[in-house]
Amino acid sequence: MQKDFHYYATYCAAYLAGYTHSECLEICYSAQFVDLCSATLLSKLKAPREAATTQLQLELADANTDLIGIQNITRIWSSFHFLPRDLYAEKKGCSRRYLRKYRLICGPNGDLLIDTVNLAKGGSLQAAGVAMHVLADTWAHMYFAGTPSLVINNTNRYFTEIIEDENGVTERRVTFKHSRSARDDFENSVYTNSLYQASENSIMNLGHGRAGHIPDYSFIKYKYLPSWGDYEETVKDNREDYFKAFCQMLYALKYLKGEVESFEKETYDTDSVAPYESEIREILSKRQGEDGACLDWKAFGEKLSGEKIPDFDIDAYQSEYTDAPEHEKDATFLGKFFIAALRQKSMVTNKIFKSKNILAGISVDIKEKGFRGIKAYFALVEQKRKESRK
Amino acid sequence: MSAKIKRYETTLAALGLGVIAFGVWNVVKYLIYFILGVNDQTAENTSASSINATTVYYIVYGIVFVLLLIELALRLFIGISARSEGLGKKSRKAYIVLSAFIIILELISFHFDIVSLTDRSSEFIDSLTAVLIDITSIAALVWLIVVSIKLKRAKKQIENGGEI
Repeated sequence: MQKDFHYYATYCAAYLAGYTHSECLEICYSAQFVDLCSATLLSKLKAPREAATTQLQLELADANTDLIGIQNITRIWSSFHFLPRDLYAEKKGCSRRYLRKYRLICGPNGDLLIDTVNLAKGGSLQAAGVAMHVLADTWAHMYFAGTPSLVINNTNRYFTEIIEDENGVTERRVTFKHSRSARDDFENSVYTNSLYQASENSIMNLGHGRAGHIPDYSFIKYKYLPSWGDYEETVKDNREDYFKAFCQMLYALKYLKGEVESFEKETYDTDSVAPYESEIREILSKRQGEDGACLDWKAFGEKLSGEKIPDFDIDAYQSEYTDAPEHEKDATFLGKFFIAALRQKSMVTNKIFKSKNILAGISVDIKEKGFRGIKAYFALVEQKRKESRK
Repeated sequence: MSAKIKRYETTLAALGLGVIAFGVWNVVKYLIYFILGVNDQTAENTSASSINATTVYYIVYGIVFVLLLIELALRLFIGISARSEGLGKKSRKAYIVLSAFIIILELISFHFDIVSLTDRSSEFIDSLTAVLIDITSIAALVWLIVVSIKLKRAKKQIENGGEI
């Protein structure tokens, strides 16, 4: 998903869940910041690099794809953008190496989603924002995995857009090009994707790169053959999925606020959304890029709250963090975000490791083994101690 | 379109490329032999009173090279046709017959490579490599014919309203 959903739609969902305008802004800012918090930015802020929630293209271009490199990449992308649906999925007739990657395929309503939302319960608004980003991406990025893998993430020529309009239903073959500067042509179904690389662990085969930005467009309905699907066709209707994502976000935010007792799978707060459903569906179905969708969601959000939603500004909280003394950094906006990111990454990595999958690296259970590991994660231990003292 | 048809089409397209690759390899290998002077037995087989050994050398290599180019052309036709069919376009079915013909040629070559391997008339590694490549090439061509026939049957079944 892109800024239109992570920032503006999350704001709308948070407002409908009963958060105040300023709380909504904190949540939606954090949700969008997940797409921007790279190691490069963290270096600039002198913040723990382990709190990275994304990787820039240049960082990926420089990344190694040996085992350690793959683990670093998988840890980030699986934790925040391609949350695995079923870490214990079975597939007959495949090797263990294949199965490890197969089990990282993203999808909504998995056990890890419950863990993600529960992790944010009782936490900061920044933690809620991180959880909402992860939740939303489970819908957009389903069927792809957050690890570089040709055999899981590749696409081929069987990629067709299904267009439903006043003329009925038409199918149009998608043409992929590799021009980074060219914009996607929605009218002719010409989209940019990553270059085909026969190497299994090439960065080009990370996530939904081989499908370009198609999974991130809310208006699109398409069918294709996922690499892992044994030539079975998969139809993905983003308009429907994004609507469910919105309703589920609303439900999750109500749970985090304390208005709902528990967060369950396959549950969507459609009742609260009902008065606005046609408006939301109109925004989701409109055939437009990120900029147009942002404007529509922003207008909807401002109509809901009656307040102005500022444009996303990546620099908004940086000086607060850099100017704060060392012992107070964790209490700043970005400090809270980094703690939330570390917790999310730590939890997901631990779950993946416990499922006997080494693709996200090794995880140490602090309760059993005491603290062992990367120094940055000690902040989580400290945080836990502070919370228990309170 | 059923999953099976898509699987057959994808396999056919890949095999088409493979057949072309083997044809290109044969030509490249032969050129390398020519440049490095490998298997140059013409001088030993011509007597001093016969025509110039170098001339014979070039004539023989030339004839063989032309034959290899003809084989490459046939393989290109087979490969492009198979790939065309694999990509869902129309193609001439003659490529299946030509594949069978190439298989026969490959079997003859295979026979001579086995003889070469057993009587140690050339380097063991060279002969063994040639045998393995021949086996792979024959397997690819056989597989291409099998997949092409299966694809044809599957499409016919769909046309007749059946399920695969």
